[in-house]
Amino acid sequence: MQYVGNVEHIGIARTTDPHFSAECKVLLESIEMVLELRFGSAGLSLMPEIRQIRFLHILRSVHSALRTVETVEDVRRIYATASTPVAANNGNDLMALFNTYFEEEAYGEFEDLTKAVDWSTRQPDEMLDVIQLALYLGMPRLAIDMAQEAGKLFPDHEKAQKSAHILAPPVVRGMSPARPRGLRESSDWIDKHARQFKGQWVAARRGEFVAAAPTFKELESMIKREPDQDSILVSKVL
Amino acid sequence: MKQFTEVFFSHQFAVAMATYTDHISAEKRFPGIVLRLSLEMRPNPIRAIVDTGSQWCIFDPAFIDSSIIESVPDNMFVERCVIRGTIYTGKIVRMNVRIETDYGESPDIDATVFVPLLEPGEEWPHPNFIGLEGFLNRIRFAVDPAENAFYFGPV
Repeated sequence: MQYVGNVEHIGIARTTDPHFSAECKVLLESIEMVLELRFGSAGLSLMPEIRQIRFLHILRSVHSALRTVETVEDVRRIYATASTPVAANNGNDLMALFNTYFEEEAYGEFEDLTKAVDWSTRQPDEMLDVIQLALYLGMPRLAIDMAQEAGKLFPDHEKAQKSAHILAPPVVRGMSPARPRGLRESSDWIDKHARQFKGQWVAARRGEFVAAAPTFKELESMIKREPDQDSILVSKVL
Repeated sequence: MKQFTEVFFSHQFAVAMATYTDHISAEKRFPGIVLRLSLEMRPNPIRAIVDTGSQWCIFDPAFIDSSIIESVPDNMFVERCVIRGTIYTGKIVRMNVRIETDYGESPDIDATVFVPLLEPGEEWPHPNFIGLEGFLNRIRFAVDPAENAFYFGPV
């Protein structure tokens, strides 16, 4: 299978549970029928294992291979091999497998596969696409770890370096002594008058009203000539 | 000085203390720990609510300088976050964030934050959030609700 080169082409639609279940059911029924027809009770003995398979792509592989396989062991080899991340790493369908895990929201398998892959043998864009998928899956820690690895593996690749920079652990750049600027008082003032300004943008300085406006842009232009800008607390009243 | 300032500072647990307010809306719909922050390239401090359930810091795009968003290529670091039941698409960016403190030293933190991408004319209907990944997960903090004090320091 061809590597899908850009995460935008992979898309972000995920398989919904009802559709997933319906296709699984049809595939399992069909697999069971063909196994019995071709191999009798020996074929049916595989069904408890096959029912444990959680991925559509593996069920599809088993289903389509049933027409050509010679023995029951051949069938077992298909789903055993397809379930092994290292097998995908060595083949050309790594990105397809990542995409499958993504679509099926198989978080554990997705993470296991990222760890099984030797990324030094892959293209940097592949790694960046997987980082993007990890973000879509809501796995920020994994994305951060991978981005740091990508930064080390591909020092001359601009996007890999950008990735490592953006998805880096937070860093303290410097310390500034606390200065009394009345920000807490301004916050209290906004809370106290919140009902009066609901839905508006409000600016307060040292506990006193400065300006209010319906949009941030308008408020910004109203206060831009005020002194002590860093003492003016700005907030939208929700 | 708040009650625990000396204890936390002398044991180097914290380097700063910020007092907080308890809510952020007219109807007090968003109860929580509301701190003041300063964001890179913005002159005015803003308010944000601590939310350890939020994956990232999430800021109203109105507060984010366009150069920070444009520094990230369009097809990179797009993220979807479910925020109060709504899915938002946004960009992950790197920027400087400072918690404004009442006592001690305010650390300038180079943080990773989520900036929602809104439709033209659409306004961000939620508060700003101080989230876990890329920010709080590298900060040691303690809260004293008796005095509305948020103590913190870098790990």
